[in-house]
Amino acid sequence: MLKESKFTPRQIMLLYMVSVMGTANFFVPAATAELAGRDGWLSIIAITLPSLFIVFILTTLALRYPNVPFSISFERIIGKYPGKLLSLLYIFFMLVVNASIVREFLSFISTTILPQTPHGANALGLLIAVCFLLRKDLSVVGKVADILAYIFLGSFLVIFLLLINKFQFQNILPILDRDVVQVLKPLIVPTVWNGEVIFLIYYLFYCDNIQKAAGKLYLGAVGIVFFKLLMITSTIWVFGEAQNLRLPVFSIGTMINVANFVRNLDAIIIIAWVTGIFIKVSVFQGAVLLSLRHSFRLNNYRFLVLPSLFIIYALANSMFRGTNDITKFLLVSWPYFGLTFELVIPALLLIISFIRGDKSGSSNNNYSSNSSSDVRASATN
Amino acid sequence: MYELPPLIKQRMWREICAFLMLLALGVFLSMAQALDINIPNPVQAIEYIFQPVSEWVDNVLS
Repeated sequence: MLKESKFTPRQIMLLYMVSVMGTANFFVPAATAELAGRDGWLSIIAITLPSLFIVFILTTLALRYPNVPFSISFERIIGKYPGKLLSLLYIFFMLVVNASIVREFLSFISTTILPQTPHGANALGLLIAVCFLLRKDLSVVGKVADILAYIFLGSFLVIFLLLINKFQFQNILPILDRDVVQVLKPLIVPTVWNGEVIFLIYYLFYCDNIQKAAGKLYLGAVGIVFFKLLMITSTIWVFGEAQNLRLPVFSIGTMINVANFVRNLDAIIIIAWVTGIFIKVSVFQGAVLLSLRHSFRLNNYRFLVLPSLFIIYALANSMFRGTNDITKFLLVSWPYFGLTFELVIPALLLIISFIRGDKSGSSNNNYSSNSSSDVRASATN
Repeated sequence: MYELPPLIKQRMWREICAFLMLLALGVFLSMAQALDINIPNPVQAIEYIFQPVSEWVDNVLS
């Protein structure tokens, strides 16, 4: 039972990759094309370092307190009540992010394949699946990633390979014909997407080998950059600057044509998108529930799954009026909102923790009155 | 209400409290939306705080 409730480092890495790419691979090409044009691929290469830096800050913070859940480490660093307040702020952040993901999904589905279906029906399909997954057991999230992540990642490789005959490699030229600042300007949007690793930090507590999992997160960050690069270069090689396309990655699926036989493979993109969103919403909602459970010292989180998804659906419907609102939020406020919670606050916590010289290694520092292994075992009950 | 009876049976008051609070928040948000009542939108608050930062960065980079 104890073994079953844990994640392996590989599962943590796969969950990270799928969670980030579930939305980023579809929106980032349009965002970088708008800001950096055909040099968008250079921006994506440039995000490697800041992404690794965010992973470094977050994993260092988590590894300083390996015996306590992430939300409890706030209380250890800044005190009980400020720590609880910070936990609540993080829960708010995660709820807003998750609701905006559900809203993006509904908007994408209604503009591409199900224009006549009401939002409520599409949302119900997604949220019921997420509900079943989270209510079953925490470890199921990892097992699902083990199965679906390869389909998800494989579909991007298949699209790239099938598009090779459509590539016009000269589209990428001239390289760096605009200002370097213009190229680096869109850097923050994909970096913040990579910073969503913060949601996986909540799962590190339940991992077999926290050190190894932290290492795998660095590998995951590089993997995400690689797949983003694949998608961005594909859109540039096929469409040129692709500035007027809202979802260029979806559009390249319709361009596939191998020997007039294999064509119109946009269904593969839909499969990848729905798989990615399903895992992403599950992982992020799982992090919300874990945070609630630890912050309020609850015995388990299962009974909170339904009401929390209820909130997500209500927020998803009320936060944005339309697709333009989502795009504006993603390009204007989300980068700085995300960066505050993914980098600024964790970096400050890490500095405070170093100054205080506090570290959770001794047994009296363990979470609650239980031993950490008991807590890990009871997490799935 | 499907979740509540086992919690009451096990006298998990803290859990019942958390459950009811989340449920009340969900019901409040849904009802407000259904009845077209204007409630504070978190996105507007986020935009109010972070849009000036975004504009400042844009000015610096342009």
